[in-house]
Amino acid sequence: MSKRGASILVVDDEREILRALQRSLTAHGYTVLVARSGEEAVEVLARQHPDLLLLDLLLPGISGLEVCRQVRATSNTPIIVLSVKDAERDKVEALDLGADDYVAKPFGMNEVLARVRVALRRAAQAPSGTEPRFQAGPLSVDFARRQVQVDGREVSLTPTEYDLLKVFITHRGKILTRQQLLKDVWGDQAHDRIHSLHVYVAQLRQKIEPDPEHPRLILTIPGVGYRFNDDLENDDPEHKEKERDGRAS
Amino acid sequence: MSTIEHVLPIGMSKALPWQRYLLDSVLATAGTLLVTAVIFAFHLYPSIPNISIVYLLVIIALASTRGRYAAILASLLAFLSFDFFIVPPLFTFVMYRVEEWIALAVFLADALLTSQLAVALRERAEQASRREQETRILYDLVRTTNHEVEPGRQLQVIAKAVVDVLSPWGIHDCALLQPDGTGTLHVQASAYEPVEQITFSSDERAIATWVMTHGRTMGLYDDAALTPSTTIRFVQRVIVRSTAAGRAVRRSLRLIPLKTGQKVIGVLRLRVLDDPGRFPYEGRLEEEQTRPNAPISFFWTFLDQVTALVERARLERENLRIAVLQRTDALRAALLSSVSHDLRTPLTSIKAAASSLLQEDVQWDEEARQGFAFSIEREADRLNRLVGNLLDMSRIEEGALRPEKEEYSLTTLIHDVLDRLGPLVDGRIVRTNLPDNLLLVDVDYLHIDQVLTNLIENAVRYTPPDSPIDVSAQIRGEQVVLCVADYGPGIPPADLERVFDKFYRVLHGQHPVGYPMGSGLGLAVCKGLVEANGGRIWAELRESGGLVVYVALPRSERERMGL
Repeated sequence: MSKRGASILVVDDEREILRALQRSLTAHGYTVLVARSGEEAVEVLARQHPDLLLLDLLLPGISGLEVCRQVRATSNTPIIVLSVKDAERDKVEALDLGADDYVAKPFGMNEVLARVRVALRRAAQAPSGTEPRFQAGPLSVDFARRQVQVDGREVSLTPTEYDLLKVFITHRGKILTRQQLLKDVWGDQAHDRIHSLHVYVAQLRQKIEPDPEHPRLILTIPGVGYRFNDDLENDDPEHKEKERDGRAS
Repeated sequence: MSTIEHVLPIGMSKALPWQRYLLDSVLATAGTLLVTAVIFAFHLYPSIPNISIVYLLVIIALASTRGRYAAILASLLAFLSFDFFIVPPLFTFVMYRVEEWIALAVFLADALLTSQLAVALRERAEQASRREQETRILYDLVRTTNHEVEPGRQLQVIAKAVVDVLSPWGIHDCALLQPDGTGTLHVQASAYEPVEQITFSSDERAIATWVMTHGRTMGLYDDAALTPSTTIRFVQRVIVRSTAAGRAVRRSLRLIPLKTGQKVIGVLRLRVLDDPGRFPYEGRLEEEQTRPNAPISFFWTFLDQVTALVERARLERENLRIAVLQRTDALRAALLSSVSHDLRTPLTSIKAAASSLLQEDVQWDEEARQGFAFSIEREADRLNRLVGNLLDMSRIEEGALRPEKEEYSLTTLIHDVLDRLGPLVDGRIVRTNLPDNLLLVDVDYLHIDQVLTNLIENAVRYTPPDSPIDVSAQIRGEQVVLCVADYGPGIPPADLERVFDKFYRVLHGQHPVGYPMGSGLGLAVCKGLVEANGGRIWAELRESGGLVVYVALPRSERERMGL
């Protein structure tokens, strides 16, 4: 499945973590570049244009957040943030700054690989949201007719639920922070809605998830937001990985 | 709480001196003249030669009830009136017979001597009763103070006793000020006002500090004219607060140092209702401090006792603080031993598995290699959870925990967490019993996620490997109650509350035989997180065996309002 030859820049100041990531990523056919500080990362980025960035937020010199900001100023290179549990705010800030995804330290290698795959696939896709139809597992959406079907049965969504689903599908695979979701769905009135966001998501799940008690389409990213997972066919690697990984976040 | 007993007030003569003298004079004059009149009217004198003895009755009566002045005055009046009205020639002070002179002179000497004896006797009796009363006051003070165990309340009892005892002097409130570590004075106790409500103006503070450093008494008056001449003059303020019966009740403050030896340990702030002359001014207070038996000397004896009790309360507080420190030290030691044990256990497993994989002389088959790798991963997760709990605990203790409350569906949250907990549950059956509705709660998702994880981890750890775990939730009034029940051995009923104490397991050294030790942090973290989210956590034992932990969380406001 992995895209042969894609180059990945790994930025971390811990030698052992670098080594482990380098070994596994190389074994899966990726070309691995390493940087051990923010400055070095910026330099390598400018010189070698990697396809993806695995970025630790706690770096000597300029911070991971700053690297994130600089990358986004010039390119759409996918960024996956590596962060520890007690840095929720940094993590969310990085995602709001345009990072695509995050993996909590300590991470399982399978999870990193799954995240990398998803990010690379997303980057390779044409800008989403333009196709007339969308299909993921049992869910199919006809945007032209605003029609949503689960297992061939039509479900009726409220306008807000439909908007929410559309935002999820547009950014499928990517972590959407609460702020991003609020802004995309409610625009200017987002501020008053912060409390009802999770309720809308819960209601949407009840309607579109084949098994709402074990959601596979809309996944909760604790303390951050949600991710719409459209990779169900692929033996659902990330879901399985989550289970294997225990309380990763 | 027992009500505070009252201490007897100090004895005070109500009447002012000049009124006393007037009354004494009138009684002495009236008494002697009455006797003279009777003797005169019935011509008793020459027939009964010693009739002057009758005067002695009046004089002794006056001596024993009214005091020395009345007795002497009566003696002299008796001498003169007997001479004037009774001894012939009448209506002159002249006497012809020597015997009459001698008799009258002896009578005067007798009268004076007898009255002095009677007065001395009376004074001694009075002194004895005053001593007794004073002893009683001191005894009551010590007794009521000892009655109260808690140091903070002891000070209040002392302050109340001061007001009770000194109330005849017009004192109606008393606050106790003591310096803290930096020397700043703080109100430690007050007789009738709650300590928090006491305002302490800057000039009061300045004076109190002056009293503290110089060990001298100071007053704050509403009238500059009353102020004794002290070298330092502070702002004089009118402290008129209320008027009683149309008459302005003037109030003033006295600040009196509490001294043990040369050391001043605090300042007593007395609020005095100014009825002029009732409460002695500072100058008099200090002057008479050294004079024995002066009326005010008891005031100082009483204050000495108060000082001793205040000092004792301070020492008790100090001891308590040291005891707490020692307990904290014991706790810290327990933490270290517990944490190092908990960190080492997974580390040992990881090290063992990894080094097994590295052994060159053994060819592990694929299954064994997988097993080692799994155990490394599982133990690493366990370490991660422990570190997470330690971090949470320290945040809870620092008060740095700020829940980001949003409206979530508890039903969804429970399913999400259970989905994620795969390896932790370790093949155990987790049965859920959740209602169809969303159970909306206002909480921090990560916190409640952590609570549920810890509860399930606990249930898995301390119950037999094949027993199921029940997770349920339901609405109860204004709350949503989450419930995690196991089928394990439970805990002793006496420990149901203590299980939520930090290091309960470590400090009480009890854990079911055959089960691994936990950090003893899990439930303490749960309690901290639940309470930070406005909820409540408690444990109950099931009749059929097993422990049930309940977590009550506030329902979301919108849902309660039916939106």
